[in-house]
Amino acid sequence: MQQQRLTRRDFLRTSALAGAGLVLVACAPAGPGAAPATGSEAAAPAGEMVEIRFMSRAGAENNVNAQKVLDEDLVAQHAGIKVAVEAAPDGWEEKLLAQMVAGEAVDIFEAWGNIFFNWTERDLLLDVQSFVDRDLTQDVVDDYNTFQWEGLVMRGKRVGMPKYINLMTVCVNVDAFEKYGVELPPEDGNWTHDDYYNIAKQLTEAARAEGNEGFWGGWKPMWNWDRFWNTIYMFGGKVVDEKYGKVCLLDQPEAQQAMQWVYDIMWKDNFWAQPAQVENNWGHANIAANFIGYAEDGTYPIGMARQFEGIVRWDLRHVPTGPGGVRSVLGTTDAWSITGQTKHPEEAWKVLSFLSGPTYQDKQIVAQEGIIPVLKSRIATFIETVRTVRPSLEEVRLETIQEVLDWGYAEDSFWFDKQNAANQLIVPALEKVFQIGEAGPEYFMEIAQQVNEAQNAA
Amino acid sequence: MAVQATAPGAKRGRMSQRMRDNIAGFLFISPWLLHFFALIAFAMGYSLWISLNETDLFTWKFTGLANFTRIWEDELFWKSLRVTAYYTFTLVPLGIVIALSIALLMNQKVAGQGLWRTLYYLPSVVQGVAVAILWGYVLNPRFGLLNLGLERLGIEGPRWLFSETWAVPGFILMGLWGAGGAMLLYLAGLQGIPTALYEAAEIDGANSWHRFWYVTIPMLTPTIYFNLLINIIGSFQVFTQAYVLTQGGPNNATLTQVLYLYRKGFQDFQFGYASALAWVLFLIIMLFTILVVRSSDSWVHYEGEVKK
Repeated sequence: MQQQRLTRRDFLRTSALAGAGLVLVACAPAGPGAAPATGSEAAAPAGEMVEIRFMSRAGAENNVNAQKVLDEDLVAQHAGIKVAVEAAPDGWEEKLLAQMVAGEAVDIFEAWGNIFFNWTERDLLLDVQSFVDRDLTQDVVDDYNTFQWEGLVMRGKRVGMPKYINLMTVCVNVDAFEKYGVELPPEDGNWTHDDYYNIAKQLTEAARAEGNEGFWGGWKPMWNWDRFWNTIYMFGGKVVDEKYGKVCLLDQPEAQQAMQWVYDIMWKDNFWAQPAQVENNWGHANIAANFIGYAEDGTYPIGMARQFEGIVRWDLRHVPTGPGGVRSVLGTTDAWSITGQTKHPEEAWKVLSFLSGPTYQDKQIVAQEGIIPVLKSRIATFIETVRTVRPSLEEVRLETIQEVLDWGYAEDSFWFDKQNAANQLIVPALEKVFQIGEAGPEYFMEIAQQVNEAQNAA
Repeated sequence: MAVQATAPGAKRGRMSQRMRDNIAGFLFISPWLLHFFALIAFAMGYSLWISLNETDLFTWKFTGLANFTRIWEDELFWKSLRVTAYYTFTLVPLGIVIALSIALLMNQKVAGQGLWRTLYYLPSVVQGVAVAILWGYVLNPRFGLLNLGLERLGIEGPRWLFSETWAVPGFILMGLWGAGGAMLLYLAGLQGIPTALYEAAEIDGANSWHRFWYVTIPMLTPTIYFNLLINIIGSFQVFTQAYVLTQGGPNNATLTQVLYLYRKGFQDFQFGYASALAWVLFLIIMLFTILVVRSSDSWVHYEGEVKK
């Protein structure tokens, strides 16, 4: 009897058939009643546990505690809700957008001003104003800082609840000031832009006298969309005529004077470091590397303590006032938002208000992440807690943070009617003038006109 | 020819052997076909459809060719085209010359030849973001290796990525770093040139330059042709360096076409316009590809080919 041998042709044919079959099965849509494609549990009947997916940008080391607080404290308040913390991947903005298109977006995510603005225009976010009106008392609302609370209303919609506050302060390199024999800026904030200039000059000249060509008095990222405008405000100018306005005011004398001041200190006198001179590093990294004496930058006490510990002594000061006595800094609108596609808006809102409430703020935002909480009532506790976590912060004037909020000079950013169109013109111009110094501030006379045309274009 | 034995009493199939072979062939290539139709052809078709709409993928409005006519008046599109063309038409010829030069050197019998070839090839193995970040440090005006080296030669280096003039040349240098990949192809081409041709040329009195110009180069033209085509197509799609290092700055000096269309789509939510930009880029690349292919008859020589 002849044995049937499996030929190579038969084997290849069978494998190809099997492979094609597997691909077809994988591509087949889920049948009725099958589990949702995301793999999460099917929608629970009323009274059963609801899972809320929460995309956290806090970082792997902080997400563990976030999950713990949500598992213990949130559940204690809302027994029927379970929160699944998902770490935000690289490129999370594009990925979340793709998820929204596919209808598989998380319920809650974290973002800030420009992102919320763009996504609100497309109805991608849940307007939580009705929940706020229903559930939050006036006392609770008053405990939030006005610039954040009002800043999170965009195009008439409340886009989310605040996560933390990032305030701009002047971080000073205490070691450098002592080394070069320059007096530190006053703790009470009683200094002006003339002092700002003179201190930078003294530090730079002292460093040069010692042969140190790699040190500059100060640093400020004037080429950055979020960080340039407060100087203009302090000189009495504005960027746009009103919120969602169409008239660019960067060609006005006050704005020009402000930009000329910064241009001169960076590119004429070079008492402030230019980006290329400090490896394009950001403010605190430049202080840690002893490139600069002070930096106008964000404020993250525990992160900064970690960054500077054992390397350089540092402190915090208010930004100086402008020529007209005005003081202004960016107060960010970092917040959590609920995606418009959420299947559980009520439960998502409960999680959102918990995240922005005292328990999560204390246990996660302050104790774990070490950043400024959003509630005025928690600031004093915040300062105490971070000093307990990082004793080196006893040497740092964290009270400056409380004062910035109490004095009320933190502000939300500016908004054009066509924000993206303005961004597309202004950012390259900021780079040309301040990042590479290939034009002076008068360049904005032309740019302002282009911005106005773009705002009025169909 | 295989002889098929049919067992006594077995039924004869309806399909002929040729049909069975055809079906088997299609089954063998079915994974690739599925991939092509599902991920490439479908995506291209869908992208073409998107380009005919004003859409953020959540709302749709059919606008026909409006996105394409808008491109014509878009100053930033022309800016990005100039940047991309500058990058491509500088990098590609330089890349060919450098890769060929290295291949000629690597073709010499020297000690450690294998080691040298490996060293020149290794940079081309590292791709993408890692290369961009590495070169970000190399091109640093103050601390970068390049300017430190130039300083040793008494030359004050430019500000590279912090200069509108020098940012794209910086990217070109980054692109040349991967010349080792093409070097390998030229090396293989060099080693495939029959020595008889060199001997014949020598007998005819050709010196080393003549041998290079009249024997080596013509025999390498198929390899040059391949590299030229692939590099033009690849260079027009430059994105990673601009995205990682400069975000298109300073002042749009490194705003490449792909970066621009990415911004239009994912930052401005104008997916219809972004798709139109992608199709225009496709047509531009196609145009140059056709030009190169059409011209190849006049300058590409294949061994044994008889030109009329």
